Amino acid sequence: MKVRLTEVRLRPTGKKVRLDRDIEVESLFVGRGPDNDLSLKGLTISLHQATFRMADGRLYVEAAAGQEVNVNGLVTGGERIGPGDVLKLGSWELRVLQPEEGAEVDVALEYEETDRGQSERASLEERTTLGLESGIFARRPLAWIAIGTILIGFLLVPLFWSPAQSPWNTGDVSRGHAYVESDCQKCHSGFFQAVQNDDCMTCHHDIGRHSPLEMRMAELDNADCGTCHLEHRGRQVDLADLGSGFCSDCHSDLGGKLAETSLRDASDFGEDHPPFQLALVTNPLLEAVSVDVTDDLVEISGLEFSHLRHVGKAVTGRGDSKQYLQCGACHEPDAGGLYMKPVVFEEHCQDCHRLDFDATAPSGFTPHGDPADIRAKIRGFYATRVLSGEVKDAEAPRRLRMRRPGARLSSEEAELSRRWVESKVERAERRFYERPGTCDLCHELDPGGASDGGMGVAPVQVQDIWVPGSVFSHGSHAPFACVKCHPGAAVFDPEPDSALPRPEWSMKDSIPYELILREPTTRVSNEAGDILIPDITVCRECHAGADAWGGETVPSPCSMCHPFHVRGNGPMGPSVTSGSAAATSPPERSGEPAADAEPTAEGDAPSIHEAHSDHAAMPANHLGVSRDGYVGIGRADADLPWNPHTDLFVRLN
Amino acid sequence: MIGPRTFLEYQNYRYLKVALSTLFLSIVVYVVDDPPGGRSGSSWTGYGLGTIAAATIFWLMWLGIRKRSYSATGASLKGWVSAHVYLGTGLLFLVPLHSAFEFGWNVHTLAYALMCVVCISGILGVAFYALVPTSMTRNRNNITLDAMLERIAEIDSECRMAADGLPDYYAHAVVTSIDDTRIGGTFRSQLSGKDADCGTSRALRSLRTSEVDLDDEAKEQERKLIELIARKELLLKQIRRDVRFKGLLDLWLIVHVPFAFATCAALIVHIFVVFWYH
Repeated sequence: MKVRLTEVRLRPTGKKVRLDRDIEVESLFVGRGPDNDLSLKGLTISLHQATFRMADGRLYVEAAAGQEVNVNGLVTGGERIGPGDVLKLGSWELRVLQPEEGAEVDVALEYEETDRGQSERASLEERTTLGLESGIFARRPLAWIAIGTILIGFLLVPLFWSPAQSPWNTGDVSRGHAYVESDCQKCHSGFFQAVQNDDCMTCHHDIGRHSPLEMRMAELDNADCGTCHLEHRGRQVDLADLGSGFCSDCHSDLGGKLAETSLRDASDFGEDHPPFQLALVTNPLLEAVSVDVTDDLVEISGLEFSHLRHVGKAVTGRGDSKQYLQCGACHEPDAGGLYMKPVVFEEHCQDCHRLDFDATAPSGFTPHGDPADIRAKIRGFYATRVLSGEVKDAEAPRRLRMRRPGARLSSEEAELSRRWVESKVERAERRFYERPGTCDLCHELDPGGASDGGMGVAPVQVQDIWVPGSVFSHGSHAPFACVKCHPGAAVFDPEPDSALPRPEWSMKDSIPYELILREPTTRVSNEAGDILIPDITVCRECHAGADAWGGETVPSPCSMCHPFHVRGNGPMGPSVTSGSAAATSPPERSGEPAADAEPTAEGDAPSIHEAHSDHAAMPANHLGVSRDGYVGIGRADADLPWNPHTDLFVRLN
Repeated sequence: MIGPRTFLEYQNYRYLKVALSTLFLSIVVYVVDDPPGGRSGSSWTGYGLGTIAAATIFWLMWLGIRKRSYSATGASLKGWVSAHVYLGTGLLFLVPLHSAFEFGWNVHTLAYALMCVVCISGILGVAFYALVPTSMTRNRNNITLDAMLERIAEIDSECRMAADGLPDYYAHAVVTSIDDTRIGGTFRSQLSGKDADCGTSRALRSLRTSEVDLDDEAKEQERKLIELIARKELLLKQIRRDVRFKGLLDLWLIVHVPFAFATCAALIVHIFVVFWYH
């Protein structure tokens, strides 16, 4: 076949020139190799790429073995082609043309290097990517992304959608405040302002000031709560734990700071703490005094009692079984586990000391109470016998014994009855009051002192809380036997009942811990007036200062016993005059006694505020008030400065 | 580029001394001040240390502006960098004193964490500047990267010619060696300094294992081709090492700068929040 091959070349001037050459071949071989009819440069072209061939006047292209050709953009192994078809070989384009008129050729092919490509360097540059930054992965865009993410995620969104504010929380709030943790404004009521004391006092409205109002310690009373109580420091953090230095800052030298105080200095429980003083209120309207414990200090309670004659005795108690009387038989801890409940006759005494007044009558006993009431009850008991015809007493007049029940009493019978009843009452009274009687076993008798003018008993004032300036928990000391701290109340029958096993505490050798150092019989109390409150040395056997370490003592910060906020001093806040303080903050049940106490104070009796102006005096706080609402009573000497029959107690609530 | 020694030793370690004495004073104040509620970021000491730290951070950011300002007067850029490095490192210790060592999962600790990333990347940056340039110079061996690339292009061109008369197997290898050879590329490949799928290495392997029968002339061509591609492979290794070194010198900054801005943003949020809910 005759072929016209036309090469289209691009001159450097940009002009294209056409170079024709005619050849006659059997088949037209195309490839990279120089032996081809049409040799095209380019490593992507095979040495022998394709063959053009005529058959029956038609032109065919066939790929060489293992090769392919690209015809009109389609890859094929070979096919018929004609004018207008375009083949791609490497960077070359082969176009099949219609042979020109007059040209004596069968096939016209035009070829041109259309994809000349770049220089090697340019191509290499294209395959070279230097620099770590690309697209958004570059300093500037990354910086913007970071700024945007943080400002939107942590500032804008939380500002308008409060649930997203949790990353703002600097730390978990303490356990007690956890229930309001998600409600920031509960405490942070104002924006761009510190938490206000009012925010705290929404709930803690009765949090007491540290010192009595008249001390006017503005520095303490007006301080921000947050100064001392730092929140957001974790669930387990105790907001009230301010470390050992907090109290001693002032109390190590209180006299130097507060000239008027008579409080003694203290800075460390183990090493620098005054001996305990007992608060004794000699007259609730006048003054509570703190007294040092001396050997001759006695409590005058109006009662007689001997621990010696009770503790350790084998008795038949409420049940039928015999048991030793131990401390718990009379002293029961209160519900809060702090102090002991008052000893109550009906619960703690009656089982052994029933108030029987008639040995012949099984129901002839009276409840514990006012002697006048008891007299009336006994009188009623015998009068009922007469009326119901149940007088069996051999000493009674015959007419009373023979009386039919329900019959009307004649005046003579009435007089007989009256005499008989009175004689019975007298006998019962003798039984009660004549030694060795029943009532005088415990009570000081007061002839004519009863409200009916008959035999009475002296008023009873048992000191309830002895050290009101501190909080003591019997409950936390439950692992230890009572005898450890109250040896004077612990005694044991030297001849124990062999049938009853002795309690553990009474046997020194079997005591499971070595903390009991005192013998239980050093000085056993035989008098009700004995003061059995342990002194500081007893506490120090286990408790040392806050900074103690070494594993043998309990590090004891001031706050272990002494609350900072004393409710009875009125609520925290600016110091105001006592009058308006009482008006703005009515005392709680256990609060200041002022409002109720003052009206009962007569004449020149000083007001409760004046009475408490001595800081050494027992503060009239909730601790200084016994749980039944009476001011605890005790006396340092036997001479009562007031008349117990008329003054009695002041009810505080 | 400023060599690390020049700014680390600037003015006989003036800013190291400044940073250390600031830190020492802060520790003394921190230890001495024991507010009633305990040490915290919201005590007066906490506010004071926090103010110093925040002011330092914003001042450190200023270096980004100062280093671009060639007409600036006052302290030399070297002094600025020296102060930047020492005061910035000091922040790692100053900020925990500010917060009284309280940390948590919150935006406040986030600010500190981001700042730590900035400081540590900065320290790495100084370390890279101290170590990398020496290796880089040694690797370059007095040839610039541009010259090395030019040489690669020349080899490619020579390979094309050498393969022209050789069978397709060789043509294919040369095309592979040229078209499949990439320099740099992704973040990872630049920093790895290697290309496991390098076209040139593949081409060299296939040429060395060629089983094509060749005549003597072609064999001579083949030998020449293998030599060219082997040289190209060596050159590529050198280039890739160079790219890696360059990457190391850039890498820390890509972390340092965005995280510095992130720190500032978090710091603004921190300051806003602690006063918003004071």
